[in-house]
Amino acid sequence: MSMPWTRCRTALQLALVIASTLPGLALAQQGFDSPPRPASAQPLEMPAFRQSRLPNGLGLAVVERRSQPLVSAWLLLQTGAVYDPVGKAGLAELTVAMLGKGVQRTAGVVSASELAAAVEGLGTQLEIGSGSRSSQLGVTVASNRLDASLGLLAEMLRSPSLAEDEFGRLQAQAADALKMGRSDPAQLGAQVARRLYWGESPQGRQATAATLARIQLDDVRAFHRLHVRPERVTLILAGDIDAGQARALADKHFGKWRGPRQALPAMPALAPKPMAAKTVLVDLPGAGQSAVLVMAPAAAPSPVPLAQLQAETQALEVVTQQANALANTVLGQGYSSRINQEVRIKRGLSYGAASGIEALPGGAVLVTSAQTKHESAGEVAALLQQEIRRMASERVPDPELVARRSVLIGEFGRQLETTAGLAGLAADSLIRGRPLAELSRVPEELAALDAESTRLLASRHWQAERLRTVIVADFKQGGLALRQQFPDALLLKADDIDLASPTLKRGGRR
Amino acid sequence: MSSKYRNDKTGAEEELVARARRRCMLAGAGMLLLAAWNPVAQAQATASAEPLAAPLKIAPLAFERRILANGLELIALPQAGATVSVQVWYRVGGRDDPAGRSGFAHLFEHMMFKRTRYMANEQFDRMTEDVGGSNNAFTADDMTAYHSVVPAHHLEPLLWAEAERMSNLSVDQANFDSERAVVKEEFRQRVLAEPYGRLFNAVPRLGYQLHPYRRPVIGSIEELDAATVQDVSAFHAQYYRPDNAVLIVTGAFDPVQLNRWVNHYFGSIRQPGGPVPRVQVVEPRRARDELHQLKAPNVPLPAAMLIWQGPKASSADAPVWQVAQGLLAMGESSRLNESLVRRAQLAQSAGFEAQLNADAGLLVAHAVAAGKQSASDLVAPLAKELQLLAEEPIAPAELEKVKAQLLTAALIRRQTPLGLGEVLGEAALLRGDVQWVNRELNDLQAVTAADVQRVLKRDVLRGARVTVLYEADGSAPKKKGGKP
Repeated sequence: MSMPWTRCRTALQLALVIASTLPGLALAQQGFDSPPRPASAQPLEMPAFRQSRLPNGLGLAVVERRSQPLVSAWLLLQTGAVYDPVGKAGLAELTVAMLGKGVQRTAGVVSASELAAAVEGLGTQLEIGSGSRSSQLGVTVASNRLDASLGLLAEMLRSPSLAEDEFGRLQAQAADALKMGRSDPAQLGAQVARRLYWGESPQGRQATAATLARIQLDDVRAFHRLHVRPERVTLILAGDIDAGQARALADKHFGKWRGPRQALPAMPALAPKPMAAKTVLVDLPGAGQSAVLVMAPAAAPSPVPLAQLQAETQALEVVTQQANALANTVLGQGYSSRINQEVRIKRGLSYGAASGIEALPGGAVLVTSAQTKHESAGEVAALLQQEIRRMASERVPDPELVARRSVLIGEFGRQLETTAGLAGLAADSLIRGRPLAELSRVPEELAALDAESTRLLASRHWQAERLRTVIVADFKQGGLALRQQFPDALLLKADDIDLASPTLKRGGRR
Repeated sequence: MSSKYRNDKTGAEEELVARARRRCMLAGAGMLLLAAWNPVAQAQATASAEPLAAPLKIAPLAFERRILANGLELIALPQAGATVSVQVWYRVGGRDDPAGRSGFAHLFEHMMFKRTRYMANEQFDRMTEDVGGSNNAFTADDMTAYHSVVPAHHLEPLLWAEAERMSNLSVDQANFDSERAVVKEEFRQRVLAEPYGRLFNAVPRLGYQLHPYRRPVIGSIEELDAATVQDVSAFHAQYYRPDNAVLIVTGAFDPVQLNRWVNHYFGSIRQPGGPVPRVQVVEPRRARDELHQLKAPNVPLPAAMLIWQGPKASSADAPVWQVAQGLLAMGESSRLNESLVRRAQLAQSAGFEAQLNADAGLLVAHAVAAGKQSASDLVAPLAKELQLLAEEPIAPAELEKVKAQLLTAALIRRQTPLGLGEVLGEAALLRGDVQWVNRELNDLQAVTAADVQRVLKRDVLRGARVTVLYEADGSAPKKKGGKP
């Protein structure tokens, strides 16, 4: 089923707004002194997203797009870092990475090298990674190589070798990657910010050299057994394929897969447990720029799965999360967002300022960020704070609201143009627990959001006292001014940071 | 799930190359993206490594090309869908920065989003981003490209806006000062704050000897400070003219209507007299090897880089280097990753790029140390891998693997109007012939192991090498009293 939707109303209203602000509108129309009007909008063609389950519980999501002989084949796993045992942060990430590091066949072990050569011999590369509550592995591949690709992906899920030597390598690489991140002000700032906001909740626990060293291969094997099972996996196929072909391939490669008898792992409580400090200043000697992050709580998704809510509550939940997205777009998405206007366009203080929302059942946070020269770090922090607060105190004017809604809707539309974009939309919906058939409603729902929805949200969460700020700077340049601007700040030296410590300082007791 | 941090606009510094670099340096345990570089279309895919798989049928890109009376080149390729991409590629880039003004072409690119005679500051964003589209631009050594995507019904206003900024740019001091400050922050972010930013920024200076390519496209803080508003007007007059531009329209449009609009909005732009100035410097053959030691603050792990001279982008050997690059550095099973990262565990990551520009090229191999390795420990193993590729047999399956990877990457790019326009623009400007898009994958399929070994022997084994060792400030020298 395809649900046509027209962007006409939004777009035309906006065009009129633009025209009225143009210089030279009063001039005669015969020359080139003002832009021509846009034509009338064409309806957006929504492809059908089809969702089903195999008898063993494995989910299947299919969306057809035939523009090129390509298919994106992703396996979405309902597991991630929030399931890491206390003290072993990084276990989910290592386990998922290990799925790509060799498989066990009856004839013997296929090494990581041989596996990579097999995948890449199909003309593709394995994309593999894990997030907070979901992980994925998959490929985008020429459609004539899909069958063979799925064969390899199925082996990775069901019979990874989880070999000792591969595990040793991965652990060493992960330790080096941590070291690299520590020298980048933006990455270090993001890690500190995450700890500051989420604290000692699952989302606040991050991998460190110590937690990585503590993880044994047996932990990986146990995590794999418990978490990687058909009831917790969805196969997403997007592109040059129809529902019938997709079902046949899913049956062929995953139909005989049986899960373990163990009970399904329960999702831990994810509500944030913020640290007491409102501001953290980190000294990173030699940093080429300061990283500035300002956070505020955002409307948390319901801890109860969407499907289990009453219809009315469900609708409210959808609107709330979309209002979150719209507020985020007004504030920090795209070139013309408010913080980019203030920080970059008006003042030239940064290459760019942007925001994002990290949302988990029971907790959510808005993160605004920018990089700037050390002398401007305090000014940038004040601007980010001011713009977040302004969202709570003033309604977003209509022309801006219409424009920012168009940004969201336009981005959604462009995601429909690629196989990976379609697979990504399906994955997002699955993670949120929303039926895929409802994706066709999204453009209309976004178009219906009003200024009141974002103001309500902002006024509930975005007052001055709820903001938290992290600045990573070279204190030799501008550190004194920062300490004066934030007299109550927690001061840290980059080398002394321990992300696992409740005080963020090495030696602080857990 | 991670929050999304995004820097819009500003694409800038050698985006074509920079994308690949970033990926190679950061490719650790995380997600790998496909294909460093830019393979393009072909008429038919040939040899498939799998006997059972049905061969792919790939239609050629049926674009139309014409030149307007004022010299503007139009390339148009319709594709069904809801959006249209309008791109204007100017034949001007970092190589054309005025003397003492390195970084200028890129700084200028930023000014193109400011005021024109009939457009307010950032009105371009109102006409793209605010209607559900997007815009961006990048400056490379040989070109500056402006690319937008809008819902299809916004095509005509967008054509008007591109024609307007081609002909009527206005510059004022306040805008210039603030955009210059932005570009300086861009420099700090990409060069100073990124752990290996200084190393990659040094490639042009160390790799080229005479050609203006030796100045990084991003420039330097001092030379950005030296630029003036007058420079901007002069640069616009000199290079932003119809006979120095290629207009590319891809996606959902009616070709008849497009031709009418292009004639109307662009046809009336005057072609200035006199030729567009061109760089005439010929890069000489490098005579001898060099060794450079770079120190920087805050280097987490040492790194080494080897640079050789490579052919021009339009050379018949360009596809051969594309395949060689794939063999060395595309994917986990690539040679550098397999040998340095996996087997020997000397490197945290390793990469190779053939950075081929219109007038000259560089071949760049690099590795970031793993664990306790020093930069100099990486040099011999890195060089050894290139030598093995040049001299030892290459398995047919390995060659087929790379060809299949390049084909998939080309298909992925062709999915969107934006990707199609980029493919056409690169062919027209970098390879010097837009028809190349319909030849290139055939050319790639035709590359043999002997071809790969021939170019490696010629350019790498017999070429002079620049070696760069990159380490943290204050890191202990290897030997007391040794050379600095």
